[in-house]
Amino acid sequence: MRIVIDLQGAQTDSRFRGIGRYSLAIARAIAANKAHHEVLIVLNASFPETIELIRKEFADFLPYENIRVFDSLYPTRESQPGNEWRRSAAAKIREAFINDLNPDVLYVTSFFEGFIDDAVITLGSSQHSYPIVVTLYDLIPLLNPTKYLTNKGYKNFYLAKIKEFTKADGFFAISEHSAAEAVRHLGIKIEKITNISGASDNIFKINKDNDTNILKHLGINKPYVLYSGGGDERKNLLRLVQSFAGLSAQIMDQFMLVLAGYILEDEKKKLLKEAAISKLPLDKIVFTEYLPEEDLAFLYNNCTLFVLPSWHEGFGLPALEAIRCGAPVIASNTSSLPEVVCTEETLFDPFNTEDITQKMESLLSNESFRNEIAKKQYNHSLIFSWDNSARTAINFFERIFEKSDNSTSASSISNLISDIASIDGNFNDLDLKFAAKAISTNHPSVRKKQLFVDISELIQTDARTGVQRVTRSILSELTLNPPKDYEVVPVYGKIEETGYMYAAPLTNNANRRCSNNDSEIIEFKIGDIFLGLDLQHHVTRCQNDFLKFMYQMGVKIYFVVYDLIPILLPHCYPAKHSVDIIHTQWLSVVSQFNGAVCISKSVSDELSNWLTKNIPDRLDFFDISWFHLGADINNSLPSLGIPDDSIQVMNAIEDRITFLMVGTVEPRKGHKIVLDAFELIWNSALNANLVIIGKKGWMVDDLCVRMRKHRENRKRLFWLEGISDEYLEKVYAASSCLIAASEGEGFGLPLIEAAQKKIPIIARDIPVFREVAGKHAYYFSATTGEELAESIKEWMTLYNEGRHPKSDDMPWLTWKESTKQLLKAIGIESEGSGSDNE
Amino acid sequence: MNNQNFYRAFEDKFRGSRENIKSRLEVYLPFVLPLKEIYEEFDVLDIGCGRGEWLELMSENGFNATGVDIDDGMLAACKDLGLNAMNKDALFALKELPDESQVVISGFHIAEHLPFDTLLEIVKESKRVLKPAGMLILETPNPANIYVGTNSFYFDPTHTSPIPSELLSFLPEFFGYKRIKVLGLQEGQKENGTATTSIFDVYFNSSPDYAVVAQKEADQNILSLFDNEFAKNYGLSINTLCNRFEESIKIRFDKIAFAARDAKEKAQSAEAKAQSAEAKAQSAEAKAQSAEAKAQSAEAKAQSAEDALNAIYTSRSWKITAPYRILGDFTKNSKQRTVNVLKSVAAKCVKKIENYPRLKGLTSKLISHFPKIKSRFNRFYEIYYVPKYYNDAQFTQTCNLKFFPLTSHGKQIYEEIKKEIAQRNEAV
Repeated sequence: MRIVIDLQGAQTDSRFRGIGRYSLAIARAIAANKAHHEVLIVLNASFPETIELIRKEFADFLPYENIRVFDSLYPTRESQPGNEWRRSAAAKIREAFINDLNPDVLYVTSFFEGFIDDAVITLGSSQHSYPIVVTLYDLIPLLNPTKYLTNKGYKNFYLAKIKEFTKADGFFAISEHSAAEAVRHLGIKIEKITNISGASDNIFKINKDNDTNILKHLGINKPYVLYSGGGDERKNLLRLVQSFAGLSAQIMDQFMLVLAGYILEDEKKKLLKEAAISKLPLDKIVFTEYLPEEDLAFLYNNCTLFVLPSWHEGFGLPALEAIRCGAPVIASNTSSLPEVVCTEETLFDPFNTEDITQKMESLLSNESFRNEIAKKQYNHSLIFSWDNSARTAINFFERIFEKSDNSTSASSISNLISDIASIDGNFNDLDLKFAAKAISTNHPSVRKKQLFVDISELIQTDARTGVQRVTRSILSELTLNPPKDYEVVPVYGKIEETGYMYAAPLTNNANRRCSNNDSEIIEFKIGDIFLGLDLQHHVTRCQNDFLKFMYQMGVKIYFVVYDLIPILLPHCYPAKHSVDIIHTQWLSVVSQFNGAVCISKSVSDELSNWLTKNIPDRLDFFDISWFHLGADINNSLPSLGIPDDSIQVMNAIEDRITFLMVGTVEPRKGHKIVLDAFELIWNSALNANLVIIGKKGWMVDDLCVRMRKHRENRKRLFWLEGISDEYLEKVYAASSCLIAASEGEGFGLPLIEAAQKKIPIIARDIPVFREVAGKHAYYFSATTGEELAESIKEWMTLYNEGRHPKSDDMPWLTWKESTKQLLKAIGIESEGSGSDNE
Repeated sequence: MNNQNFYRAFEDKFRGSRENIKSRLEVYLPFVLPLKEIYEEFDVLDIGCGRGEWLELMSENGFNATGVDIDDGMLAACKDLGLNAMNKDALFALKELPDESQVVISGFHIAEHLPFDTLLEIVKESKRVLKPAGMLILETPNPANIYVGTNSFYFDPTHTSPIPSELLSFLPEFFGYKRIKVLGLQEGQKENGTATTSIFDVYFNSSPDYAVVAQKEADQNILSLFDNEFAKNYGLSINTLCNRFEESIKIRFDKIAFAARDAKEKAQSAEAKAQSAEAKAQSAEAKAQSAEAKAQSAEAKAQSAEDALNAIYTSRSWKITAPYRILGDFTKNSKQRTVNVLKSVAAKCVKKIENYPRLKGLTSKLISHFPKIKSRFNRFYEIYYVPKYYNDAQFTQTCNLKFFPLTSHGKQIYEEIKKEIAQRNEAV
């Protein structure tokens, strides 16, 4: 049986109140107790800030894809005139969405939403073939219209909702009493309604912590009688104050009255006035305002007595919470309260203050009686558990499902379009566009799961940095060997337009959709994955809204993080470029989504630290993992060309032992310290070459002048700028050692290149080099040229004796293996291609 | 007080009011009414007619009812109501009657007063006196009800011994009646569901009375008029109540078992949580310390930033030339990397301008002299300036669901909706 739960009740403002918390708790419990049934949760995209949190609540019980979000129209709230067309359209859109899920039963946890918020909840037209079950919390407004239905707009809304409500196929009540009310006042047939009861949050439990600071902070300085909840009339607080004032002098002297919860200012004034009339000293009453649940649990745990004098409750949660915290409870003998407060001797007539006083007095004056009552009430309270409620609910679903004729009537988009076109009322073109957007988002035309690969930089400008090499290699691997069940879709975004678009085919052999899709917005759906492979800070930031929308709708979004160098080593960049700010902003955008895949464990550690320090709230949501890059560059086309002066250079290199540095000349790479060290080496008896290969970068003007004008330039110091791959091969072949002196790297590809050529390595002792090279390199931790010179001399001693660490057996990955690791990190298991090479 | 009135007073106190008894007797009407469709004459005899409730009910329904009793107190009550009743011995009265002359012979709470042999004779004689398909009705306390069998049966000192329904129903079977039905009567608990069945119900609430209704042989098509009544079930047996009680005990035990399991799981999870809470508390302490340090440094920074900004914004020349400086620099430089960096600076610039309306006026006047810069500026202005949706009257018109360009699928849907609406408008 497929149970679909409409959980908008946990998205609206109700989420701050009992109904929202109840909705979430019962839905969670149903998911936890689903056994062989399937459970789908339906949410509304109009409440974007709630979706991730709700997803997380279900992460332990349901697959990610079972949280379904429908795109709706906005605003639709009934309290605001002018929303009529949008509201009708949104209702149709929601119904069609739910029909598409093919439910066997639909459960709506809260029906009376949509007045001051943009929830859309209807029972729908007769088109649906599945039974709909709704929860009834209470009928307080209906039964007390003069107090709760004074706003005309709300009255119309509420009465129309009540009328529609009664047409549901099944009903859950939260207490025997509310079930009886439904039968009596709504004429609901008794066999259609069942009491699934409720339970309290696990935070409410016996905990004898004695942190008197909280009490002091709240102004509570002696043992107290507690009430918690709102201050509206049915809560009967005036009589509570009167009754408290009626206690005998001896008892009164020992206790105070604490009213915890959200009580409005003028309600407070009335209560204080009543206290004055009853000659109750004002310092005997404490109002705590709205408290977080932990503090409330603390108050329950430490009160002498809890009183709930309300004359009408749907369930009476505060009483249950207090009982669960071990407090003895006295409560009114009306509505549902006797179901929760089982002890007859602690029930009173809420309209009789003498009775209330007498019950209070009898408990406050007798500790062993209090303990006995608390124990009885606690034992009884154990029947209230979310698991029990969920089991009852599921049994009911099973019963109602058996009865219903389950003829599926698949609704088509064209029906929905006709329905929407036939809605009367005022609308504008933007409304139609939003409707079209919602329909196309909710009913995607693409069926196969898609893996979107962001190649924004590569396709638009191609900065040809290391990142684009990675992007190219992985994209090509993905296109040649697409993961099972997924279609690989390269996409790109622009700075000036919102929305990612289909990218044109990159290579001729790539198996891509036809090119007339290019510059069309991508069509995504739940189950798809977006992989931010290319690095384009500004595009990512400008696409923030679109990414968020995809994320809310259930597309999993991961970004590859290459490094945190701009943030960790900002001194290596010109200050005016603000790279640290840009990178920080980029990371802030990225960390809103499912996760990051770093290119090494070291980067993932750095990212975890950064997140812990800067956005710790994301730690629970953001998944940080890592993979290693590939190093088989055979398939890419090497550039050719050997310059005329190469013979002279090669001769010099072959003459003596040669140390090689490969990479852009920029402050981070450590050229300066290496040059310092070699000046000392050249002054000593040692004879060695230093060959630097790499373009001039930034902030190295002085260093470049120093190298060009060096007395050893083109003798034992060679700086080869922008040489071809072919030339590089030759230089490598003639060299004896690679020096990797960089202060920070994302991965360390040059180390692997050296190992592939079987050249020994001297590397700075930083985590990522240890991670990549392990025991296959010699490490230095020098901070000055002198220290480095010593390290190099030591290495040479080892080298001459053949005892230096060899790089020959250093492990590295192919791009195929690398891509497999990457896919695994984003939750795609590629099919068993077995173990390739190491 | 006259001894003869004892039984009547007793009956008034324990058997129930006249109206009450009469309404209880209505349960038999469906068994006897069809007889009126079969015969022209319908004489009925009630032995031990007591206060005459049955005679009255029969007369009201058009039967010709005669009653016999040996208690004059009772007979007086019948006479008062104008009912036909006389002081006669039951068996004697029966023997007087000709063969096949009555449609119903009844005895309510009489069998338990008679010696067994007399009862035997009555059943036998009734068979002779009844017309084909005629009914013999005998009602008596039900000893299967524990309270009745052990207690209330003996309230009446004239009762001889309780008669189990198995025994009473065997009599007409033995004498060859066509079919026999046992009806459980007057049970306290109606269909109330299983959950509330208590041991009290088991003891007190099964049917306290029962009746044997026996029908004499007749043609099949005549008998079939009564099939419905003989097919129904009447009353609440002690077996049913015992089963219900068992069920409700079982439900209660299940609840306790659930609660126990729940409690165990919670205890385990509580232990685990306690451990993790301790760890968290330690880390929280560390965080709190670092947060304090940060807060202090942030405060210091905020102060110095404010000072710096004030100094800059109060300098008028800076205000006017800022956009030139930044955007000019930007247009000169064509390298992508630098562009990216400058874009972000441009974005900041746009935000700043937005927050200073006067500055905005001045700069826009100035840059209007430089069309190329102006167009660049405008493009960035659009990209980086995000309108504030949430705090003003624009709210209704704009949306927090951001609008993106439609996908091709979306565009197609949009066109279809528009088309349908146009068609509908035309039709109207």
